[in-house]
Amino acid sequence: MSKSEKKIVLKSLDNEAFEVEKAVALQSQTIWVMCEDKCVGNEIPLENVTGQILAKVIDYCKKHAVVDGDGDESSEELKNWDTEFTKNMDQSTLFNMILAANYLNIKSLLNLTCQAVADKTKTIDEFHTFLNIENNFTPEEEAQICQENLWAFDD
Amino acid sequence: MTMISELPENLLEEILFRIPARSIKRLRSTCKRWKRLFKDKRFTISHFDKAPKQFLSFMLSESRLSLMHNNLHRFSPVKVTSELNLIDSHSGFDQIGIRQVFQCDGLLLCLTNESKTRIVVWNPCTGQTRWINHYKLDTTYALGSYQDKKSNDVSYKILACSCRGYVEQQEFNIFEMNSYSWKILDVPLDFQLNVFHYGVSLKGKTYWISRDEKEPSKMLLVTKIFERQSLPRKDSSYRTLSLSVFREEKLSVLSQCKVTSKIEIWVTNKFTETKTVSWSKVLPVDLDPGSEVWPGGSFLFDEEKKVLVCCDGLQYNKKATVYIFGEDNEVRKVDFKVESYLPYLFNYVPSLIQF
Repeated sequence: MSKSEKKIVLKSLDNEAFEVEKAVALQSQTIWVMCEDKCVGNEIPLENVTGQILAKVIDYCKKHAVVDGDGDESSEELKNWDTEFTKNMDQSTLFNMILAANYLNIKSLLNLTCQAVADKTKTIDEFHTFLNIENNFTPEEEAQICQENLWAFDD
Repeated sequence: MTMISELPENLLEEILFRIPARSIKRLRSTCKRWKRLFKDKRFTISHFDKAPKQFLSFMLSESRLSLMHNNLHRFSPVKVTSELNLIDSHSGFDQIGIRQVFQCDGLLLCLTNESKTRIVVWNPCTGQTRWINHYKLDTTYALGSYQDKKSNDVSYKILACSCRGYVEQQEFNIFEMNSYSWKILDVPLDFQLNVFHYGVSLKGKTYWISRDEKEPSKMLLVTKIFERQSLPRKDSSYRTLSLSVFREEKLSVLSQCKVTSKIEIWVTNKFTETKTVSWSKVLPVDLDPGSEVWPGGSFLFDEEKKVLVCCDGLQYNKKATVYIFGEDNEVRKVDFKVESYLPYLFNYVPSLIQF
């Protein structure tokens, strides 16, 4: 295989191009299918992902392409890397990562990012601020729900 | 900026499936979309299957239900806190006393002090209740679930067993929560259910100890049909007294020697569809001479932490005992006061299940 065949160019929604190793990109089932089905050449347009998010997805795929298949020690290291990877992402970035992981069909990344949102929302107060949910109940409806919640237990 | 409201339903669910029921129950009061989701039976059942489970211990004592907290490092390892109040907005009672309770999938089927003609199914985590007309004396109730293999729909059923002492007089009725109606269940049985024993529910099926208890003793399983299930083979001087569920995946059995008061605890392997049930003995426990565990009385056993909580029913001194097994099976014994002489202890896993 020539050098050019091992590389692939991913193009984001905002026309940013990323040249990556094929082995890195093929962790995405969506890209894998695109490479198999269409003769798109070396450049793959990804219309749902911005450059900012795609760069992060590629970071993730690079790390996982290198380490996958190695021994236990590196899987522990990989776990730590994953934790660090999502630790400082704000909610908007995390939601975009979830959408990207879903669109690109990268199961492990979808799992990681959904878990990261879940972990950041352990307490109710955090839930409201973190998820930024808009309350669209009428005052009457809200009063009734509060009444229902009285039945539930707390500790 | 991307908001959670922009995620499609399936991705929102992917996140919620990773949060335990008790942490997200109040989310339904945040917006209409979420409230709708939490009323969706399919979502609540998938959530129960997939989400991390919290294992709690409850005690029913003097018509009150309370949470028990275990902390083995403290001087008093079991603390009974936070009462759970069953409220009926139509009855005018501030709080309804519970006489009997049966748990399945985070739902509690309760017999109350307030009503002799109605029973109630209650999800303490969501607050949902449904009252059902039916009550006969000498009736034991159980709640079970049934999953349709084709549609994956789960439906809840109540089994009522009325019994006046003889095998021929056992009468079974089934209540379907979906159709909201009772049906007579016509099944011939060659054994008798012990209505004074608490049954337990594991993965939708209900287990009781049958009264004949011959060697090898049997236990039975109730869904729409009854089946016998083997109990551990044991010495004939031992009586099988009680069943308990550990972490929603294993059954355990408590038996006691009639002569020495020694207790044995047996547990099954994990319940899966492929494996057959097998038993292994985990603990022998010495009780004070003459102490006896009430037949059908309840117990809690935590296999991982090696802790047994049970009530010594014949002393009438309103206490329960925690046995903590250290290394080399060294036992630390701690009594704690309870309000009634025979409290009912059971394991509970909060769920969002709608019924």
